[in-house]
Amino acid sequence: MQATPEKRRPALKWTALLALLLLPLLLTGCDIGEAEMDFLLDLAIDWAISKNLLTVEGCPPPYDSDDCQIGINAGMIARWKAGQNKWIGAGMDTFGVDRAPQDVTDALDSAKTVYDQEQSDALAREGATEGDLEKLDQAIDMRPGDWSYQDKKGAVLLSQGNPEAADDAFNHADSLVQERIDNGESCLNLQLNKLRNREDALYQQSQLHPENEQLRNQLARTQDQIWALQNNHESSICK
Amino acid sequence: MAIDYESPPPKRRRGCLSCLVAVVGIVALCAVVWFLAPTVMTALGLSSPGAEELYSGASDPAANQAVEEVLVGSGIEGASARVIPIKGSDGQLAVITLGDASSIDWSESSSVEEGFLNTVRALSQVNAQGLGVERAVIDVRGEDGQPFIAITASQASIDAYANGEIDRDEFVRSVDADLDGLLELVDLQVLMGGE
Repeated sequence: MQATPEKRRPALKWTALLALLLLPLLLTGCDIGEAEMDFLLDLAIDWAISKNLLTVEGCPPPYDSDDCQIGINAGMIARWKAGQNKWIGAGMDTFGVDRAPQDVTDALDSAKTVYDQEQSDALAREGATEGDLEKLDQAIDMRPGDWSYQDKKGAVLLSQGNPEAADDAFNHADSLVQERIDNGESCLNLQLNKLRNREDALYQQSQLHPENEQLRNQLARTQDQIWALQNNHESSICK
Repeated sequence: MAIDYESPPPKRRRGCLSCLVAVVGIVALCAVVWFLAPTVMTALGLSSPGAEELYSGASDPAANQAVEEVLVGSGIEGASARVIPIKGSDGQLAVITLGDASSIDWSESSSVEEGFLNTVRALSQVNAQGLGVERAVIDVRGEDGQPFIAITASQASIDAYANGEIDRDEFVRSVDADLDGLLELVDLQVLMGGE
């Protein structure tokens, strides 16, 4: 059998392996070119070997010789299935069980949080577009720590001619951010984040209600604050 | 010498009330420990408040847009990015979601490997502009739109690979993944029978 010049994986019982490694990409319906897919498959196999999901015998890295015997580590997969390994981590604890650092498991769990956030974002977007405070309050209930919903609510209230209630909402957003700054988080990053979300909310309402002067004024003030923060000018927000 | 055979004064017996108070006290103590332990552990950094709490803040629209533009510029279209401040930390988490509308095309680069490396480099460069990302997550969605598989790498390893300090294999080893969604679909018997 003639060797091909490219890096080539040995013939494997790939049916199950392909299902394991490629299913996510296939299922998403992502439009991925053939060369890109081959490359990603290579990456996935290297990763699975490095994490002991696949076993390799008879050849050294990069595992492209015909002598390679690559198999599935069913024991490891069975442990996953039993719920013992939620993730594939870098090490094992003294009991021989894989343990990921907490920041890794939290990050992996963020996908679910982002999915939930998409649902509440959609509700908040609808509320802002329709001027429906009830929808905005529902979004706030779903993610009470998200100041962007308070800013959306403030902008809608301002567009409806209720500046006092709008101030309450903006102040609530301020306090959510300030609480985190008081606990040691970056003032600059959080304030810019908040003000950009506020700017977006006010801009959207000012497009919907171009005659509203209060909206325009509040938008201008917010943009001034962003400019001051970004240009390191003396700012009362982050001293 | 006369011996006083008088019996010693009877010990005062503790009443049932004392026992009851002790039991109630222990139960109350256990309850306080039970309810406060997570808070105390979290405050001491011994336990995590969980993803929902850690990423409860709003994502930064400008940072989201910057990451999305970088992805488009390096051949990944239709992905959405969220740069979320991590509660209790100065850092941020970048979550890149790939779904139905996403596509990957590295044909502009000299090779797909170069295209991949250019994407990693671009992510490293955009973060160097002050985004403060500590960790990136690729959130791959299933056909129902729900999170299906999550892959994560620290920004440190992304930067190291982008700068040539580690090779591709080392970078791949630094990646972690949550395959719960995938494994729910895998029939272990079929998988083992395939060997």
